[in-house]
Amino acid sequence: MNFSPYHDLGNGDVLFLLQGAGRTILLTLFAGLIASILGLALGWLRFVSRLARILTGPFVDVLRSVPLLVLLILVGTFVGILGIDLDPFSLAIGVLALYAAAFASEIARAGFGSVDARTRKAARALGMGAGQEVRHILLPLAARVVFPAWLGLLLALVKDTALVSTVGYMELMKSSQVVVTQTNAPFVVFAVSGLLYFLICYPCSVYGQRVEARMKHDLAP
Amino acid sequence: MTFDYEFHWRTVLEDLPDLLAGALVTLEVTGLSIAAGVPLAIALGALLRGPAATRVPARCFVEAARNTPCLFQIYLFYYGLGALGINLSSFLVAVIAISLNNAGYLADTYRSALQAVPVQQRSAARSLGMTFGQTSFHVVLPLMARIVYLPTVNQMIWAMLNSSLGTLIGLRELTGVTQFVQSRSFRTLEFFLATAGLYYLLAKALMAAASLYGRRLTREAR
Amino acid sequence: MGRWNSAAALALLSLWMAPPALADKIDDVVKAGQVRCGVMLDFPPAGFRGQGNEPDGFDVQTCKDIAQALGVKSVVVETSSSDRVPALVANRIDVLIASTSPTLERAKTVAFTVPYTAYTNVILTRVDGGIKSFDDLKGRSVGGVTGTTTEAVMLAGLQGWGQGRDKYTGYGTEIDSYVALSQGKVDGLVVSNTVGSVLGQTPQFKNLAVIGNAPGAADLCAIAVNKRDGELLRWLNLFLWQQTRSGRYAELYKKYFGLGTPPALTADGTY
Repeated sequence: MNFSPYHDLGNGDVLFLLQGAGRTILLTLFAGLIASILGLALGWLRFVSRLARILTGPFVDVLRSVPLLVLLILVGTFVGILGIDLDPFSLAIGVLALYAAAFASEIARAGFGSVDARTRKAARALGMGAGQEVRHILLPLAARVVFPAWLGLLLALVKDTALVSTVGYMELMKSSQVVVTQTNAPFVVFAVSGLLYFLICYPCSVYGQRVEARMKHDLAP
Repeated sequence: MTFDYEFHWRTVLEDLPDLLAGALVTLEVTGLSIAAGVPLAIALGALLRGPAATRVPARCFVEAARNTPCLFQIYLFYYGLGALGINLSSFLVAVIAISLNNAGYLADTYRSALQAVPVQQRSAARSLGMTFGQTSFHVVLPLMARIVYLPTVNQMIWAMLNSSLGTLIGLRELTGVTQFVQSRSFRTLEFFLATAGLYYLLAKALMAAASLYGRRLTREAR
Repeated sequence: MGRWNSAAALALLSLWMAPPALADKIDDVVKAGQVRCGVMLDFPPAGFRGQGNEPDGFDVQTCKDIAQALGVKSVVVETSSSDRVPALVANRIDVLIASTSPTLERAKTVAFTVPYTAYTNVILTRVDGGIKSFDDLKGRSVGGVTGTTTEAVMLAGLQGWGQGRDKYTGYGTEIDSYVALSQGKVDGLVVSNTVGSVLGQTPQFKNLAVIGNAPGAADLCAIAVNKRDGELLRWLNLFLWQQTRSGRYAELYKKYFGLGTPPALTADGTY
């Protein structure tokens, strides 16, 4: 037999895991960007309009009560049946973005709600238009408040990407499974991939905590 | 875009008892992992308030739990421990891994809750003749309960969602049963739509149960 | 006026609902210049990733042969055993070449070709497990892969012993079940003879061994396509007939499974 499905753990495998980690980061950035934009729009709608809140309520509610794994399988099957030709990367980003958008919209809504109505009125009294007030007062103030929560969402997204191999995309988790398949060395492989996840998440998490602490300090009376 | 698919709902109805049995396992994993996760989180919270000797290891654990995917943690406990010759059942691994995950996410909440009960209040209770146990149960815990109630309920929902990952190590909870029964007929869409519906109902039921319990907690704390 | 509006709406709706121009799947594949095959890449030697993580194996090579015959590029899409048919129904792949047994239940959802390969089911255990026959597995922890025919053989065994499913663990992928067996989480699996012959020879799984055949007849496997792709199905049947007649089937079988003469793709007493 001139082929080999199995081999011992080597440098090539570590490189393969690093590539997987790169794809995990790429997925997170794309999905995070789309989720933030969607979430901001949805959160704004839900903040200003009761009707929008009632109409979009079920969307947010359902997405938050169904496991991502089930959602991936469902959306993957549904998109296929509709005959939409999506590669695994786009499909994974689509589902992750949709899922995260549900959480992002709640974060955004909380952010808008945190801005004191009197501050906004004061801005209008100074002669700002509605658009100006949103751009120069509401958005910057809300952004400051929700930044740590938003960073938390991105971190959750990094961890959520571990499931997208369900729709055929090979990120870090799937890469480690492939290497386990070839080497039967699960402990070492999972130790390496765990470390890679940690290295991606931990710096962001520490930064988020710093910002949050500084904000508490700033906002303290 | 064309929608060229016939729904076969009867297949799902026939397998509904299996799905419900799976939902029960989902509830078991959720319940056990919260029941074990909360005491662990309290312990971690206490360790995090202690000297460096206890704070540093506890902090390491919390950061590891919070900065790696839950699926990774489940795999690590299943195949990683297996490589060391420790073989636990899928159910046990799911419960342990999700309990530890819950504890990691709740530790800081419980730490601040422990901080929030002023020492004076505790000494006051003790000076009224209450024992340490009485103080803990009648003063400290009810006061903490109000702070930790919402985060704990949220974590319980997360635990339920995370339990679906058990299917990847062979656990027959709701998602696992769905995978199994749909593989017989391959009516994937119908089965997973039904399962999504069941998860939604489970989440609502858990929230309702929690709010009943929560009302009692806050009444006691008054 | 209102009537005209609704008539227009109806016309639009029927346009939208109408099936697209009747190009069949072969036309689609040729136009796209690629055929997407769903293959289980955790099922060596039928499907696996080689040293450079390139897909290889009997099923992968069959996909390449199909692509060559169609004059298009082959794209291998990894599908786990439980994701095989969903991937097909969801149109993520054009053909499924993943050691799938053509059961009547499944054939209600997808369409199967004539058999393209055959497996015998064998019992895989650990060398030190003390299991000598299928019946020795009675009362022991056993495993399988969710949604496979080998799982069905194991579950039938459990039923025969009057046992419930509490000692059975169904894994998501083939390799997960091998790792679980090798670690001692389960004491026995039913696997294909082709898998067993390779596993026992590899240093990574040297504690595993095949101890004999599992109950039941040989497992004939078929390629599957979407139920509505009749033209493609007919083309594939012809392709498979050519594949056997030209000796390519025997060549691939020997190369990947290393087992000599390939089994006949027929059943006793019928075609």
